[in-house]
Amino acid sequence: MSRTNTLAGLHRWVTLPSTAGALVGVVLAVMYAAFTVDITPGTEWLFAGVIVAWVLLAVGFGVRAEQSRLSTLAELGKAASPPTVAALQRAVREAARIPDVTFRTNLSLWVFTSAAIGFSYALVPDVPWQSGARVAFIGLLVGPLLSMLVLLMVQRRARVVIEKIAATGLSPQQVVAALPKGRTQLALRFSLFTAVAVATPMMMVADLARLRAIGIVNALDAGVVSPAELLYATRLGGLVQLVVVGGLVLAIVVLCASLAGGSFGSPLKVIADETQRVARGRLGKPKLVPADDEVWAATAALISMELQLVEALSKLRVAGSKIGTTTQELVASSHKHEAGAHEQTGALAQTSATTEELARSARQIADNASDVSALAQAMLDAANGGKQSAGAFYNSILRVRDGNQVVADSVVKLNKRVQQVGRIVEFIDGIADKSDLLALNAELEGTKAGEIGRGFSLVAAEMRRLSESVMSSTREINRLIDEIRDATNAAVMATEAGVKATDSGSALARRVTDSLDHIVEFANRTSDAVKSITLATHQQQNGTDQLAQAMTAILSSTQSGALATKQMSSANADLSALSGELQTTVSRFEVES
Amino acid sequence: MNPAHEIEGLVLCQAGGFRFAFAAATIASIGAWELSSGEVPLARTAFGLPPVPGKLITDERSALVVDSLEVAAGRYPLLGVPVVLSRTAGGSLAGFVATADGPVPLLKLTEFSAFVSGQGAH
Repeated sequence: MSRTNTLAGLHRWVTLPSTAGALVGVVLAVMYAAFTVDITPGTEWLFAGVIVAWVLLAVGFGVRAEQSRLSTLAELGKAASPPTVAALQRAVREAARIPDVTFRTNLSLWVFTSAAIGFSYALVPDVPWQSGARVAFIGLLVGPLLSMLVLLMVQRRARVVIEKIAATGLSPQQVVAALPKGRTQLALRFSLFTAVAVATPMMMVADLARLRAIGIVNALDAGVVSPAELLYATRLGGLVQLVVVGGLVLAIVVLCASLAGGSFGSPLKVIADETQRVARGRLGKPKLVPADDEVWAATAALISMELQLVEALSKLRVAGSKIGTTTQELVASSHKHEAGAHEQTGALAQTSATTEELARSARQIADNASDVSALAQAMLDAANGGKQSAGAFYNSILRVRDGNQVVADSVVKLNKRVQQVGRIVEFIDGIADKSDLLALNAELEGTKAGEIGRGFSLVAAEMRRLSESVMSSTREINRLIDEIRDATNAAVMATEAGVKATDSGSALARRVTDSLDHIVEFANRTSDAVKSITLATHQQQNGTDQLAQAMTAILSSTQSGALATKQMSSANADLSALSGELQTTVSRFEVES
Repeated sequence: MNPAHEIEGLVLCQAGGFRFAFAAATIASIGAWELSSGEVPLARTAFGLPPVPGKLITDERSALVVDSLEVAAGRYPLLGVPVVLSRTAGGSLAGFVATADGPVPLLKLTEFSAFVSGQGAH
């Protein structure tokens, strides 16, 4: 509601100088006409009526034309439409354009109305056409100056209107966005102003001088006055005309100059103040400085600059804070990373050395694995040979066992035979012993018989020697039998021991064969495993060689990384210092919210 | 030399390392003796020697075991026994017989067997 009230009537207020300027111009033109136009007697009121009629008509048309260009502002002032940003921006554009509109309208109406008044007055009976033409000339002479005056006055009001519209609900940037700043016609305006301000008085003076000259010539021709009287009268009369008309024109020109100066000076002063404020670092509320042409471009640029500066400062402040925090974290992280990189470099150096040692060990292991593989193959061959030998040995043992068993059986049989022989020899020995006793008794009986029994005794003695010989032989045989028995017993025991030994030997050979089978199997597995180990160790050797090379490359890269980290840490420290300086610099600017 | 001082046929015996003889006419038989054959007087006992298997000689009343013996046919001079030796060995010494190997004491089987038995009883 308050917004609508603020804008109420502004559409009429802003163009009010147009009507006032027209009236001032009419007064000036009438005064000038009074001095310079020969009004036919009896037509004064008609002439005045023509002027009033056409002026009223022109003013009405002009007001209507100007108001038609302020329709949005009028609707906003009447609350006929909501004060949206778009409507307000349209109103701003209308207010910004209305000075030029009033200038063109006034100038056109001055030309048209002057011509119409002159033509209408010339149509009055007894009025020479020169009088009508002169009226039209006066209108053409005064029109530009008054139109310029109106322009400058309306321009001041239009700026006030723009400020009020902006205060209603537009930000400076929205006002800047609403107003095109491409038109740079300050030089044209100054040229036009200078031309009008100079040409209008000059043409008036020239016109007055021409009219005075014509009057003087006519008076002298008529002989009404003496040249001295005429000169005196002319001087006095011309002075009054010059003072009245010239003073009024001069006042208008000075007023125009003052308005023009204010039109340019006031915005520039505000711009200067705003620039000083920005220079002092007080930002945040850019002031709208309504202006035109290059000044408006400067104002818009200043507003945009301040807004962008505020935005940039806000972002810069946030960024500076974030950069500060981030750089501090980066510095801390860089220090940690640097320390970590240093430790990593050391660890990698140790790891690289260990890897190289591992690679050497892997090569040595691979070589040893190759040797072990050859040894395993040799062991496998030896085990196979041992297995065959053990098999042959086992068969031999079996044959020996069988042979021993045969020998044992033979010895047992032999022992039995020897025992039989012993019993026989014992029997023979008993017979021999008895024969010996019989021979002894026979010899004894022969001896008892004397010479008669001598032959008997000899036979008995021979028998006895024979028996003793037999007994001696049987004793020898018994001794031999005992030896044979002992030998056979020893042989039996030996063969039994041999059989047992061959049994245990065959069992042992069997176990040896089985063990060798296992050994061969294990040797096969061992050989395969050793081959796999050899292959794996060769692959491991290749892997460890590649690992050692990779570790060397990683170590080099890590050392480069550590150097880069150190440089990055230094850069981060510099960045942190720069961030501090940035925050200090940004903190000098105060952004008012 | 007095023919009464000769003797016909001898049984030459040994016990241990000692030699002695009996008149063949006084010996009835000769047999074998083993340690398991029962108690019989052993000539080794007279010499303080342990028993060993030997020959058993017997007459009608006694027996004696000797280590070995041989029968020697022929006639052999018999040397008389001095008085101081007449009661030697239980009075079994009958004299000394001269053999080719030297003099050998001639014993009487019954007395000597009794002497050995008496020694064994002691």
